[in-house]
Amino acid sequence: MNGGSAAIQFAHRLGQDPLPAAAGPQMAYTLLDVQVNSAAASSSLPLNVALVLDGSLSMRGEKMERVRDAARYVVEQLGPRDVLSVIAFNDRATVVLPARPAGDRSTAARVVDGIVPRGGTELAAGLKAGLDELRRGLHLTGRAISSLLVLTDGRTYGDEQRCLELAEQARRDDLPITPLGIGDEWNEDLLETIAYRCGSHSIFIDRPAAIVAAFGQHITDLRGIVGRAGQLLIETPAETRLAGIHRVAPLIGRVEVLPSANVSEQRFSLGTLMRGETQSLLLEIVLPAVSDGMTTVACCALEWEPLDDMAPQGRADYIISAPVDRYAGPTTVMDGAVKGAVERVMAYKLQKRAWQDVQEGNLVQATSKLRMVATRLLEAGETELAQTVQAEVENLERNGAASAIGTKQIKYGTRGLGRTRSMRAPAGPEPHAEKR
Amino acid sequence: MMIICPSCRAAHVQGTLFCEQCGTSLMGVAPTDDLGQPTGAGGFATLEESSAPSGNGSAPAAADSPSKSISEPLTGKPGEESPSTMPLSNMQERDTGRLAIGSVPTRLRVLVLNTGRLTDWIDGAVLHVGRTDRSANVFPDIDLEADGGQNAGVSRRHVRISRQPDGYYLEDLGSINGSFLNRRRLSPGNPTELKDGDEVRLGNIVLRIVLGGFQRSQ
Repeated sequence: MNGGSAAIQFAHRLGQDPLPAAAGPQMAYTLLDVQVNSAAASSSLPLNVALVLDGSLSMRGEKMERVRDAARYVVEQLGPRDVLSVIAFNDRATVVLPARPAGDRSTAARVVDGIVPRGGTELAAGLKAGLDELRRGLHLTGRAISSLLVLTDGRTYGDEQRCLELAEQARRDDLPITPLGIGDEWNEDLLETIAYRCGSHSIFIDRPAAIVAAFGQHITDLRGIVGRAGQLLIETPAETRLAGIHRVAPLIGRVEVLPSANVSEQRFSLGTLMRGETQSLLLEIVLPAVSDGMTTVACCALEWEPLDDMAPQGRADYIISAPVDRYAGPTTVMDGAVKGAVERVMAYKLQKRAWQDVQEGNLVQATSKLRMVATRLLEAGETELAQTVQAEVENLERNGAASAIGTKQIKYGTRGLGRTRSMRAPAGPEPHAEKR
Repeated sequence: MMIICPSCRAAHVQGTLFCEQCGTSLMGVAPTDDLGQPTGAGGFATLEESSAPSGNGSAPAAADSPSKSISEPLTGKPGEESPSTMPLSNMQERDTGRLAIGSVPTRLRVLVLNTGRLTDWIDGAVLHVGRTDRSANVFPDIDLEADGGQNAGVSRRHVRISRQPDGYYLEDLGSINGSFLNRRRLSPGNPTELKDGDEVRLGNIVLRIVLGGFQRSQ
């Protein structure tokens, strides 16, 4: 079933359709798709991009070579109305290219080539300089779509809190930060938290060859933004309750709960809306006793801010209703797509708890949860990732600690389970941004 | 009505697919009424399960008592995930310990972690696991030969899995390299209960046990 508006299309699938009549509460899993029309007009606003590049000693060699390639690629993708700045950071930050129109490609390429890896990694210095350059860029462009892309391969020490404060500032100023981590040394918890606070997401790059594609994809994504501050409103009938909501696609993860003035509705952040993108959400809705007929499961709406200041706020409405049949009961087949989504979300949630157990020293509980993650992944047909999880279980039991690379592969692998296989396939020589 | 996780005993509303606490599959677990008694009504049937015989009843049974809300409401705090379960210990406090586990598995399947092979559902009462040896006329129900069982040290008759009224049991048959259940070595001839998600190591082959077809216990 589907509906919505010209710009937004809603669709949903029920775990059971029809639902069984029941004299008590029952769980009604629902996959809700929110799709931005691929024909929606994209923004004509210029881009204001800051590349914040780790210039520490550990980046020397192929990583820095590919970073230079990636920066050159970004320059080629930007137009004369766009603004670019480049910052290199190690123990301190150096603005190697102050915010300026991106038309001068040769200058941009030359300054990137001049970055020489040396010293340690102090992320906060790089972020601060990058945000400052984005603000300068806005003076040049007026209204623009701003983005700070930071790439690091190292673990920053002592300035984590400062990084989070800067992320908060970035959010307030609508200067989103997208962190990219390469290798196995960087602090994925810190980068993910920075991204989360900005309404963005971090990206795991498993090999240097994937850097160029990750940068290129980011610029493509920025060009496809049609709205921002997307908010999903969900209102349930009396005695019906939204017990959980999880993002399933494009990446599995938590959905930020926003404060709501209306007590009967709940609001969730869907972030920026990109042309052609579908955000899938798994709703766990507990229904009261229901009898034969149609029942309303939830009333949904999407609100967003258009990029054009003069345009009115966007809104699209959708009602999820379900047929109820007394004969449905146990013979009703569970929808495969919904079941798969529940399995993958469960794997994601369990591995998150397992890492908490590891941090708290509860290795027995951690390995128990990870074993169950492997089971759920195998059931979901994710054999390769399940074997990675199994290897990490054995590593935990043998060494009493999680491996850096295994942790990242599992965290980002389970998060990427919401993608379709074709989207996740590393397909030939073309690099991919997400490690499976 | 509610569903009690057969592994950790957390309580869930009817229709929940996986235990929020431990991740165990709840598909096919028979719901109980608010007093913890089996109702005879089955839970969800999956595509695989719907094609197999089931004794789960044909229609939901009416609960005798008013429904109870088990899940906590979503909080307004960013980043929080709301639990949709309540530990059984809480329920027991409310219901004076009258909850009961009302279901046992009736079939199983095995995931061979080394190769990622997933067997079909098997509902036999006694299952042998090992590797085929035609010359010795040994044909186990679950054959690990194709998974490299011989090189991995799997015996021809390695373990037996038997279905008892209260669930499945695993027994080492005196194998050369031994059997391990969740990293603990099994004593030969000493059946040990299996739970959904258990890890079984036979030689260097590692299996994951998946239980299903839960029915109310007799």
